[in-house]
Amino acid sequence: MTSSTDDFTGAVHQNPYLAAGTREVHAVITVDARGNPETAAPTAAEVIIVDCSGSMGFPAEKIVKVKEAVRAAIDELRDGARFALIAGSAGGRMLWPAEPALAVADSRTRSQAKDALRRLDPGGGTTIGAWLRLAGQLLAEHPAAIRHAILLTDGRNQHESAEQLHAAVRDCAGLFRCDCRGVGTDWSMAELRMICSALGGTVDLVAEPADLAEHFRALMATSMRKSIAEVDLRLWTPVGATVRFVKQTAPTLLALSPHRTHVDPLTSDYPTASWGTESRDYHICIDVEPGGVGEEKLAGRVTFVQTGAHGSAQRLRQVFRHTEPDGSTNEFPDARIRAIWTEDLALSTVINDKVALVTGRAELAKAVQDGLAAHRATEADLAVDCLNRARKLAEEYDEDSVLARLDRIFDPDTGTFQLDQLSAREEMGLDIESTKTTPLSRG
Amino acid sequence: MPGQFCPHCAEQVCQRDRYCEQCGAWVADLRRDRVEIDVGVAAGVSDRGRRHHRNEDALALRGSGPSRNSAAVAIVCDGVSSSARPDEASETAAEVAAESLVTALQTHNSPAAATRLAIHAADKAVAALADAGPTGGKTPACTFVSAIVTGNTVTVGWVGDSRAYWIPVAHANSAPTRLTSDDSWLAQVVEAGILSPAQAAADRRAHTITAWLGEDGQQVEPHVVTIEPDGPGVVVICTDGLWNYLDSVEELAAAVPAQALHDPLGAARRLVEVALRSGGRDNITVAVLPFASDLVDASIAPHLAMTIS
Repeated sequence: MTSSTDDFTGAVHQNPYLAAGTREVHAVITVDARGNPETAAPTAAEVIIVDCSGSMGFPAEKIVKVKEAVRAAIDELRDGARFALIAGSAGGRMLWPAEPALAVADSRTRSQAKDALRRLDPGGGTTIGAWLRLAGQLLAEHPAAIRHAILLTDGRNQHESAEQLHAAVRDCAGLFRCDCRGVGTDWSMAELRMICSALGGTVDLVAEPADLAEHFRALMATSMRKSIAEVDLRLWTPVGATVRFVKQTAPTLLALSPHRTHVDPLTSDYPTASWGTESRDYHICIDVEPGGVGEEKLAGRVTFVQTGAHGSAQRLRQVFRHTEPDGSTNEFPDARIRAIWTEDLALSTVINDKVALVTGRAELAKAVQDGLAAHRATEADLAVDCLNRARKLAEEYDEDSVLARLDRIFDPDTGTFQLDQLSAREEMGLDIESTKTTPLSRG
Repeated sequence: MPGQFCPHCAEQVCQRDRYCEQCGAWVADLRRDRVEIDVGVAAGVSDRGRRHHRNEDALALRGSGPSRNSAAVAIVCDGVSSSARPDEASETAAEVAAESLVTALQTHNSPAAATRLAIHAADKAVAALADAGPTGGKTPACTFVSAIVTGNTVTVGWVGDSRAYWIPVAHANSAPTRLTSDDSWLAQVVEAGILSPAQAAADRRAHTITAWLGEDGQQVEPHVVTIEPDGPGVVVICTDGLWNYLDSVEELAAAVPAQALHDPLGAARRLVEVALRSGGRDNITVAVLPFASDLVDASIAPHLAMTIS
């Protein structure tokens, strides 16, 4: 029932009633964006960073499949998109084009890039920070474009310091979105997760090099469909309020709070990168100064804004459905998070089902990650406790893919986990799966 | 409406949503949250209730005066919550209809004809709101019920599920009567014999209305009923915020105080209080119009005598 001109259609889910004197307000905001490819979609700027350190040569098939995957990604580039290939070893170097700039995609440049790819030979170290810096340098020249990088690696950042990597990631934040793919099981989940969290992207495991081409094709196709660049979630909170967290809860779990920028004393922006036609969910938690019983406050107001190349923010067309406690609904051009203080426990103790769901899924992800951390620290009892809890949560919240992975190592006879059977590949797969979520139902 | 300031921090209150732009406090709309109107020959109360954020009901009354030698007129409208700007829809409908009724009665239309004219005028005015501001794809809409009490007749008109009742005073011969039938899903399936009243009431569609004022591509069909009471009593018109708690005519009649004939404002306050005490889940609006030829002749004023042909 929304106007056909809205870019973002959302809904606010919360129980606005708080027990007298309490201050913690939770809300889930679901957002469906409709990118419109017909209305002057901004240019896409893509950089593919291919790890070609020495380890990529073993087994020999690996580099062959990597090249195939990059070719598949190149084929997805639409005419007119800007792109470049970076070869990553000890330092990053331009694989194509030769000069440090982005080329315009057409049939000629696509085949030139593929020719350059043939000459790629593995050798040298892994310096992910330097690779990202080069990508940042190329993409900085295209501030109006939807900027995106794909980083493929098979190893750890061994030939530069952790500080160097962190500094490079900090400098690239806001410049481009980066999807990371780890091939094999010798790369570091923590490193790639840190990069993706800061740059806004996804991390995934490609255990089999043969699957790389499909991953790359899908990544580039998704990126080509992004048509709304540089969107920020703008959150207003009242005087005296503290934002506990702003999390993306679907399609992947992502903490946004670390990347907030202040607009004015009551307003902050949280980057959400570019959007296509897609659905995302957010969980917001705010502490507000308690009001008196019967009083109501606006605890937060969310809008989605687009930060243009010139730095000024522009409001996107948007509408949010709000459901009153009695079931009636209202639509407003902003997402309103409310707090109403009451002494009626029947009102204040109700937990909104969607808030419960995202909270449960976050607990599940934490239980899985705590369990795996305990496993790595050889604390078997703790690991089993955490994973048992994760298994219950996965059942409760219908996270079937996580449950399936847990069940592969679960022994129903003893009620325990056979952690000695957990391969590196299974471990990383479980870790990744725990952070993937399906958007909430829109009903 | 002029800007309002927050009583907590003296900052400007956002006019669109009524939250203070500094401390977030929700500031009541003093103009609409509680409305009491007493024109002597009729009185009414409109209340935001205990759960809703704003009052989307509206109330308009017109009493007789030297320049308006007619009767008591009352209109109650309930903005459709799922429509755009329901508060504006109900207020517009009530005010436009009140003016239309008074004019039509002064120009010697019968109460029934005046009611039809008023409903069409209100429908047109609500439909016009769609062009006057943001609608989010949904046009403004509201229900409507009106009552005109003259020296010897009671005329009610309605669209939607707002109701009118005739409540004779205790010693009169006639029984309390509901004068309206709801334009609602529930009423339709019960009348068609598809579901029992209890089954239909339990359905989530029970409260879905099937007719309203406002643009929907269809001509509005006013329902109009006129009665000639044979004794004194009061006419009660109300929104579902009241009758949700007093569904049967007997329950409603029992809640009307004995003094209603002489104190319509007290009666309206009392009925709103019943709804609030029962939970106040919706906005509540009630108007009470006394009917008594002896009152008309003796106590109020000579100009209440009907001049309508």
